[in-house]
Amino acid sequence: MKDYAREENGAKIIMATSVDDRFPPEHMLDGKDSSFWMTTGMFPQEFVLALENPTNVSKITTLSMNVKKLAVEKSEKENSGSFEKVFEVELASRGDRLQTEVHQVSIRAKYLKFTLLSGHCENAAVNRISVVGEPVGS
Amino acid sequence: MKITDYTAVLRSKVAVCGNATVGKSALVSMYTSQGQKFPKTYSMTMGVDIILAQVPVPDTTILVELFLYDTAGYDVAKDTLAPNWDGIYYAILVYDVSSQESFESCKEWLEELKKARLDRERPLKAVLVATKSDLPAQRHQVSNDVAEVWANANGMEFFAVSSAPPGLNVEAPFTAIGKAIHKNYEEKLTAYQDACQNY
Ligand SMILES: Nc1nc2c(ncn2[C@@H]2O[C@H](COP(=O)(O)OP(=O)(O)OP(=O)(O)O)[C@@H](O)[C@H]2O)c(=O)[nH]1
Ligand SMILES: [Mg+2]
Repeated sequence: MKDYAREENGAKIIMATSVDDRFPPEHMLDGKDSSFWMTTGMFPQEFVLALENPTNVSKITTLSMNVKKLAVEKSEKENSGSFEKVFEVELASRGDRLQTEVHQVSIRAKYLKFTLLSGHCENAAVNRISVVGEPVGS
Repeated sequence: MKITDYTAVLRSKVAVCGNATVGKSALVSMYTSQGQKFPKTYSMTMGVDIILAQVPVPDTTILVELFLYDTAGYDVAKDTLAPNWDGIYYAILVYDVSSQESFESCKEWLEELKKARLDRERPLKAVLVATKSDLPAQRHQVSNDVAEVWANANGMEFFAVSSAPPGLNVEAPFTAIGKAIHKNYEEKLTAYQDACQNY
């Protein structure tokens, strides 16, 4: 199934609150579990994913390390302005191992905002985002 | 270095604690104003002031932003302030070289900080700072040697400073905290990279 959160499928990160050039947010869109975006201290941390086109999303998956509370919001508009809550979840601590979070949803979105509200330690990491669905109108 | 030249910006909360009038706000002010602003007349801090300080990590392209919790030193403040420290693991403990009492109080401040940790497993990383080193020797009540021994025994680096213009050693405690935050970050990074190799 097509993953709309891949850079090769036109997805982009248009905003991220942590900067370390060695671990850029694009690492979440490269399809690899081994590369990651690192948060560089304090919470909340946020990033906004822009899909190439408005999409009917059926599943959102995140792979992360040491994230505690995660909230996902969506916006359908071409110009991302107002976001609506999709889900909020608390993730168990797995030490330095991967946390896999799969959510079945039924939403239309052009933008998805991910907020890491808290972490299990000072620095969390997000290894991969996956967004599955159908193009709007199909 | 211009802000755009940095390749990473790390952030952390840092408590600045110690008795009233020891010179916490003066130290923070001298650091953040690059030696331009020294409060000659005392203005008591109420509750806690949160001040942003930028610390370049020496020999790297990394900047650390410290969110300094400059706390009021007057006595009743200790317990009521603890909630503000939630999740604080870095601290600058300050005493005045001309006040033995302010040095003794650092032990209490250290205990308060440890108690306030959200995660008790995580160590508190603090530095000890002696202010007002510019005062004439006959007014010094605490010897640097004694202070340094106590600091080291508690895992802290020790710095004697003066905030009175032109200032002496003002950057040192902030740089030390910045380096500690950087070190912690790099360790976490390495742990994550090792963990991820198998994925
Ligand atoms: N000579 C000298 N005076 C200092 C120095 N640092 C601070 N002072 C003076 O000490 C007084 C108190 O300084 P503050 O920085 O306001 O003290 P504080 O620790 O923030 O006090 P609280 O906010 O009440 O907790 C001021 O009058 C300063 O001018 C120093 O290094 N040398
Ligand atoms: Mg003050």
